[in-house]
Formats: sequence, structure tokens, C-alpha cells
Amino acid sequence: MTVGEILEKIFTTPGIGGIIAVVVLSSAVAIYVGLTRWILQGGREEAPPWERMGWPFE
Amino acid sequence: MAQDEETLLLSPLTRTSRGFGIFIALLVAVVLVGAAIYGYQWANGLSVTGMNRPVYMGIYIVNFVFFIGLAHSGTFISAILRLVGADWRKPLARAAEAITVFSVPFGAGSILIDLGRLDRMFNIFVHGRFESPLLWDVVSVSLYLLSSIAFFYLSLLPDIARCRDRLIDVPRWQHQMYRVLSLGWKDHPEQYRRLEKVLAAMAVFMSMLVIIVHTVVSWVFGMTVQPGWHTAILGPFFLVGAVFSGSGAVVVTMAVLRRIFHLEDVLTLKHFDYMRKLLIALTLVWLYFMVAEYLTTFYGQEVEEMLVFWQKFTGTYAIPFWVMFTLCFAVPLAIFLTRGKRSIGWMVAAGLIINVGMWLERYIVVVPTLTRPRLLSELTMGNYTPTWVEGVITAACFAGLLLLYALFTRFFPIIPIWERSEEVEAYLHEMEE
Amino acid sequence: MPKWGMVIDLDKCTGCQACSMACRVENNVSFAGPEQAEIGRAMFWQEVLDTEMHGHYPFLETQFVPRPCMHCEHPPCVKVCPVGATFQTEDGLVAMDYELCIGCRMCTIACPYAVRYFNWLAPRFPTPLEQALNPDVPVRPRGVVEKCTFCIHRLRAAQDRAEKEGRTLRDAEMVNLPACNQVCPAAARYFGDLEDPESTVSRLARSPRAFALLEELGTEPKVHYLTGE
Repeated sequence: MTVGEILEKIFTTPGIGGIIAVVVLSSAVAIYVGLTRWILQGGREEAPPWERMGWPFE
Repeated sequence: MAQDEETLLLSPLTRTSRGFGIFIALLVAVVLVGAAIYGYQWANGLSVTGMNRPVYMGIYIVNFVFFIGLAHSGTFISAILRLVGADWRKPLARAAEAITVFSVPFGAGSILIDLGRLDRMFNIFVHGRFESPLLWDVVSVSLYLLSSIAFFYLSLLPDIARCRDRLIDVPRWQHQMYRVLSLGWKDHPEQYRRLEKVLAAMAVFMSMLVIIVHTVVSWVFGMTVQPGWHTAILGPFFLVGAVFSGSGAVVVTMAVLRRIFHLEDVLTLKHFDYMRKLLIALTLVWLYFMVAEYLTTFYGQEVEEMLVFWQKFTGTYAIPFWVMFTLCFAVPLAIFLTRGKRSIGWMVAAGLIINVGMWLERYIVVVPTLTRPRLLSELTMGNYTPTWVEGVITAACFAGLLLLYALFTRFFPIIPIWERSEEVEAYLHEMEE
Repeated sequence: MPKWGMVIDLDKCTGCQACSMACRVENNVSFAGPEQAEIGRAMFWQEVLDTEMHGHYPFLETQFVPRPCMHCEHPPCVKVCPVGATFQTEDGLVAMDYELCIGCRMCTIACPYAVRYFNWLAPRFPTPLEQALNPDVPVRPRGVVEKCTFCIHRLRAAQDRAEKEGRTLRDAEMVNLPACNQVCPAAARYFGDLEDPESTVSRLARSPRAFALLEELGTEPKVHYLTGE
């Protein structure tokens, strides 16, 4: 299949658009939650993140 | 920053004045009436609006574009101006960003109100086709909303912690709220450094999003082949219009906050002067786009394009069109060049006038083209008379925006405190070395 | 693969609107009623448009243009549908899935021919017409878009019949297949397979009198008109 055909399939097939929307939006949520945690973990002096498996925001 | 300045910025959070209580009650009433009327629309279908064939889109879509446009001003002030290092924007940033966070839901909500089958809304995610401009809208506007909320919340976080620590005389539930929402913020230098990094990166991302979102919003119209819509300038035109109306809204917000919270020393005449100069530039850019679009159309004299053109210039929509032009260009520019230099009152008037004008501008973009569809005949030419239902729901949307905004200012400092603190500046200064 | 198309001879059309009436009865098209029609909510899958009258008395002329859905080869409406509720079939029809439609009305504003209609109200039929509904055609609910389907239900029934009888469809049984064609007293309308060079519609579409509406847009409508003007 040519690139044009692949792109056409991606854009016009029902359902693919929905998948794109869900993937983009859930990735954004995951990234923002992750960034928030990273910022808050700046308050920690000691053990690195993988050694602390407690409540996410402590 | 001086202790009394911090006390000043935090004091509105400790009590409710009577006037404020009445104001909130009024807004809640309008919102509830709007919800009830929406229930009426739900029961009777979109026939309760003035929309018809061929004017299949009306005030709800105008509101959609308007609220998203209004939201862009917040991002413009907090993100874009941050990138160019315009430090004068700092006191305004949260107030502006709050406009964004509370406007976008009503923009998205306006589209939902306009759907014939809202109950089938999730078909967009199950059967979505990415060829449709509406899918681009769903993705970009939702992403914009999520990003604005994240950006807003992160910028607010150190100040929520400040409220948790300094405001001890507030009701238990309010203190509890600060405790939970502060996410255990410790005021640690490393947290500030990381926060600053994330905000700087998000400012870049949000600036790109503003451009994408409003261009995509315009493409709901621009991607069809209807006269008056299918023009390449539509995207940039919408974008400029959004920043323009939003900046007017920021001026109004600034003045209101300044008066209510006694922020005369924090928001000075200098800030209003910066906004004035920015608005002069935006007024002229807006004029440039209008001339570019209409002169080109007129010179080409294409039959279908001219029918829409005359609808706006001399036809059914002449009055709204020329009122719009006066309110968007003539009156504001006159104010900015004369009285606006020294009077905050006049700047507020200009800001309000611009927003009324820009709402009309959205109306002028959407409706006249629909009244003169491409295949012309007596049967397909149209007219649109909005109904009271659309009016009430519009009013409820504005009331809802004001309500959320007012509630926010009651419980959270509208002027960022942490950014003004000398200690924080020191941490960040270290970071740069 | 056939490509279904229609030819309408404007020099034979008398503007009687029997086609519009037959269509609404065949397809259970909702009645808007006088007040709703007044504000522009009447629904006519097949509509007779008229051009402006020109000439001087007694040599006045107006052209009647019956306008069904064009079933464009490159439909602008299909492109913009967010959920695929309107789609193009392999045999060239632009069809509707009323179950998927979310009523966003993007297709209605994208169509340059204004052939699409929205159900502003729940469907209603003046008594006793609700007893005469066509069981082969779904009655659409409030809140979805609808339009001419080239009587796809009759088309599929004819295709099924032919398959059962082990033969191909004959041009003669296609020419008056849709309800609008069937009822035309002036025999001004033809329907058939544009891919078959021998079919009535193919030959007429090749005539020097043939044109299509808004040809310059490149939608390639499959409704062709004939006129000597």
C-alpha cells in the first residue's frame, strides 16, 4: 500500500479517529499527573522514587 | 514581599461580604434557570431554537467560538507573554488564566448543547473519523482544557500551601480543602525549581496549543466550500480575534479585581498602559485582516461570494455588521488613543465594548453565509431569528463563567503570592547559575 | 460494480411536484406543518426548485429544477461526518445510518446543494397518514439528519429479486425504480447504472444537452439534467 492509501485509511476509517482522541487525551492526563508527582517529589531528600511505593503524593 | 501585602492578598479568602453573597446568589439563580430551560430543550428538541434550514447553526455555535476565543487571552497572558519575558504580566497571570480555565468548559458545553443527539455523544470516541473537523475540535479543545487546568493548578499549588499554612481562622472544611489540594507541598527549593521548569515547558506547549485550537475551531467553517467560509485567512483571522477579545476581557478582569480586593498598589496604571498598547496593536491587526478578506472578496466579484458580502454590508445583516465594526475598531481605538491613557474606567469600557463587538463578529461569520448557501434558489435562501431559549442559555453560560470565577476568587488568591516572594526568587536565581 | 445515477429532463418537467409528494409518502418524511414550514423547517427529500422568471410578457420563462440528493462521487458531507453516520456505498450511493447520527449537523452545512434535512421535532404525520407509513423505510427519530437515498430500499429489493432469479438487473426495470421517477407524469426522470454504457441514464448523460449542478466544485454529482437552453 502506498503512503497515501495508508493515510487515507487512517483518516477515513470510523473508529480510528476515536482511538486517536482517546490515546492523545489519556496520554496528556498521564503526563500531567506524572509531572505533578515529579515536582512534588522535589521535596524529598532521601530515597529515589522506586524505593517508595506508598501514597503517590508523599 | 511585605507581610501586609501577603495579608492583603489573602484577606478576601477569610470572609464573605454581603454584596458578594448576593452576587453569587444571583448568578446561581441565572445558572439554574438556564439548566431548567436546557431541560425544556432536551424534552422538545432543537425545534425550540430559531435554527432552521438552511441556517443549521446559530447562537450556540457562536457561543462555542466566542468562549474558546475568550479563553485564549488567558493563555496569551500567562504563557505567551511569559516566553518573551514580559515580567509586567506576572500579577495578572492567574487572573487571566482563570478566564481560560472557566471559559473553555462553556465553549465545549455550547457544542454539546447544540447536538441533536447528545445521548449519542460517545459515538465520537467509538466511531470517530479523523477526517472530520469536529474530531480535530474534540481532540484539540479537550487537550487545551486539560493543559489549562494542569498549568493553572500547578501555578496555584504553592499558594494553596500558603493558604493551608497561614489561614488558620477559616472554617474547618475550607482548611481541609487547602490541605488536600496542596498535595503535601513542602516549600522546598527543589520543588520550586522543578515547578519553574515544568511551567516554562508548558508555556511553550500552551502557546502552540492556542494557535492550533483556534485555527481548528475556525476550520469547522473553513473546510466547507460555502461562500464566505472557504477562505485560507479564516484560521489566522479567528486567532487574532480570539487574542483581541480575550485581551479586552483581561483588562475588565484586572479593573474589577483591583477595585474589589484593593489591589491599587499591585495592579498599577502601568499595567493598564501595557495592556492599552497591546490592544492598540491588536485592533490594528484585526482591521488588517478584515480589509484583506473583504477587499479580496469584493475585487473578485464571484457571484455566490458577493451575495454573502452584500448580506453583511447592506443586506439583512448590515446593522449587526456595522455595529460590530464600530464596537471592534472605531470606538476602542478612539478610547485607547485618548481617554484610555489615564483612565482605568475608560479602559474597562473599551474592554467590554470589544467583547460585545467580537461576539457580534462571530455571529456575522456564522449566520450570513448559512442564509445564502451555494445552490441558490428562493427555497434554499434563509433567515434566522434566535429564540428566547437560546438567549436564556447564553445568559446562563455567561453567568456560569462569572460564578466559577467569583467562587475561585473567594477561596484562592487571585494574585500569585509565591512568584512575588523574595525567597522563591532566590531559589530560582540559583537555578539559573 | 454499478454506479447508480439519475437523469432529469428539464424540458419535459412541468413543475407539478408529483415527484416530491411521492418521495415523502414512500420514505415516511415527516410533516412540518404550516407554522414550522413558515420558519423554514419543512422537509423535502426531493424538492422542486424554481429559477427566477425572465423575459418579458408574454414570453416569460422559468425553469423548474427537481432536486434530489446529488449522490456526489466526491461527497463533501461524508468527509465531515465525525462518526461515519453518512457514508458512500460501493455502488455510489451516499447513505445514512440513523442509529449513529449524533445530530451535529456538520454535513448539513457542508453540502453545497442544501439537500440535507434535520429532524427538529419528533416525526409527525397528519391523521390518517400515520397509518400509511411504508414498512420498508425506517421512521427517523428526532435529532438526526436525513436525505434522499435514491430509494435504496427499492434498489436492494430489486437486486435481491434479480439474484434469486439468477439474472442481472435489466435497465428497463431500473428506469422508474425510485418513487419520484415512478410517478412522474411527464416521464421526465430516468434512473439506472451510469457504469453500463448501454443504459438509458448513461446514454442521456452523454447527450450534449446534459449538465450537472455546481459542476465547478468537483463533487461529480450523479444527478444529470437535460436542457436545450
